[in-house]
Amino acid sequence: MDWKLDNNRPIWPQLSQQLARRIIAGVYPPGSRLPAVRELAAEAGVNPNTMQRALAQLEQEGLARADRTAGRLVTQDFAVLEAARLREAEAVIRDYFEAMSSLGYSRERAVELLKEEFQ
Amino acid sequence: MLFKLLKYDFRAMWKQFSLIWGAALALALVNRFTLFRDKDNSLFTNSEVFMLAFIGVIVAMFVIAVIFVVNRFSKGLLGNEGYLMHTLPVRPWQLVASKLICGIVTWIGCGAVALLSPVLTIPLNLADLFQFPWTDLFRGILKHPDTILILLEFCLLMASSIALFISVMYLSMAIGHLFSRHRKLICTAAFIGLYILLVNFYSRIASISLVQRLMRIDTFGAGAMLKCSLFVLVPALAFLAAVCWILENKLNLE
Amino acid sequence: MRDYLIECRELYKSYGLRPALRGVNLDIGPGRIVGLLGPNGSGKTTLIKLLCGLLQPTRGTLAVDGQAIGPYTKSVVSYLPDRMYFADWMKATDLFDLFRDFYADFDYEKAIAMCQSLGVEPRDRLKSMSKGTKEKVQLVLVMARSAKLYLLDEPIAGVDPAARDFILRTILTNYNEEGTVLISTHLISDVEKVLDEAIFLKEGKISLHETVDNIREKEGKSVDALFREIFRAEPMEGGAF
Repeated sequence: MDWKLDNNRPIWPQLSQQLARRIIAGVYPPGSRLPAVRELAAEAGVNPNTMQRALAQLEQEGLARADRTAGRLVTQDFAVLEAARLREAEAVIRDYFEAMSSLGYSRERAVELLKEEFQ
Repeated sequence: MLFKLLKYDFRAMWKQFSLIWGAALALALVNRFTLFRDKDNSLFTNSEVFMLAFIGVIVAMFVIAVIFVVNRFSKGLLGNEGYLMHTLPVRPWQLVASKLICGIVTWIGCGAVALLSPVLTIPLNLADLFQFPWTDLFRGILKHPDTILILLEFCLLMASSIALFISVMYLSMAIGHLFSRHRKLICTAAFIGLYILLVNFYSRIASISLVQRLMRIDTFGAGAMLKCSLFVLVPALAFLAAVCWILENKLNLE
Repeated sequence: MRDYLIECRELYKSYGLRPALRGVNLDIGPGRIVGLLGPNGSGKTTLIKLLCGLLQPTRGTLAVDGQAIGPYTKSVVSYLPDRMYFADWMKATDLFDLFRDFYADFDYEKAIAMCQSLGVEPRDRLKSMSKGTKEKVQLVLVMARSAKLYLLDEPIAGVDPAARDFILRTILTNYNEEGTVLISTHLISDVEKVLDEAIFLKEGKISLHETVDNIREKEGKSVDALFREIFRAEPMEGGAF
């Protein structure tokens, strides 16, 4: 999974979103330890302070929690994970409708096309 | 910190001069075995070639020594290497002192090699060396301990003279560095200017009666050369102080 | 701990009659990565050389860690110059010895380890190394120190894009996090992701000093885009400020 960063927007929200997606996708499984800030920062090619801020955001969302000995652990609270998954799904759906609308499809037509594709 | 600087300066010096000094001494030894052997051979033999090579090496050695001192300062402190030296946590005077001490030692080393190599050329054999009245020599020295003192003073005078010469070179380079263009030209002009200044200084000084009394030839002995060294060292120190001031306040590594 | 690591007040520097810096006021705090951005000739290198003591200001004052430039500041500043500065006959390990002798914060083992990860053989003579390898050695010398201030002058200017990433990653993984890194460059799109703050230097003056997130949030564009805008806006601008 590569980091995709858009320099036209603040970096840290993009980082925290992509970290969240990794957690939901199980790249970082529930209860596992997240890599150190410095490691993640180097991997994404960003400043450690920026990565720190992104991780703090994850903590605020409840997806990760700081552990005195082991750095940061991914949450094991499946309700939280499920909620995050749903949030991301909603974002994907929103994007879909936006993209379809820009192609000139109405919402109804977009839903129909989706159903046809599914069959 | 000065000792650490000296360590690196001496390492650079040894890198360059170990080969030259070795070559000079080796050639002297070669001469020892070729020069004094086949006298009756009227033809041009190898010996002349070796003798010429030997003289060439000695001359080259002194030329290289001058270039070395100039380069260590101009490249090492005012050129690209200065980027390293001037970002070390040391004072400029330490940088200058290290280069100066290394320069003096280099020239003394060259002088020693130049003196030693003709000695090596003389075909002495070990037996002769043992027969030499070394003990008488030592006894004589012990009877007149000032001999050693005078010898030491002579060495000091030589060292101070070298220091003065090097400090003149350093100061002219530092003055050249103050300008953004024509640095080499200004450096040469500064060197000539400083030389004239020194000559004037000494002729002026020689006419002062106090100095004349101090330097009277009949008191030539223990103290005289010491005083001479002092007169040499004072302008040298003044020049070095100026060099340090320029490096401290006017350094301009563009 | 003091608030600012670098403090410049009304800093002027001219080379003869040509001004390079014209009244720079600058405060930079500890623990961040700062980009010193500007086109060629805007005074970036001059500012960096003033900070590491290779130049003396014409007017104004500057302090690093609360001290005037001198042996103390030099002992806490790690400087990557825009050129090679070592004698060719040395080996990389000779330079490491030298750095260990003079800088208490130089980590010899780390330097050797960095060499290995960068593919440099530390016992080779510098003379036999390619330009790129020598640059790596210089980078190792600078980043193997645990300095308070890293001054990196155009660290990625002369290398291809793949190597740029590599160098930036080396800097990111090795700098002392309590320290500040000041990177001068004109290749903004390559470095902007790693920056906390950006300083725009224009004709010897600071025209902007802002955190990069603020720039993106307020302007809705990348630092690179803003830079292009600012420095393209008045292409014919003369000397009168």
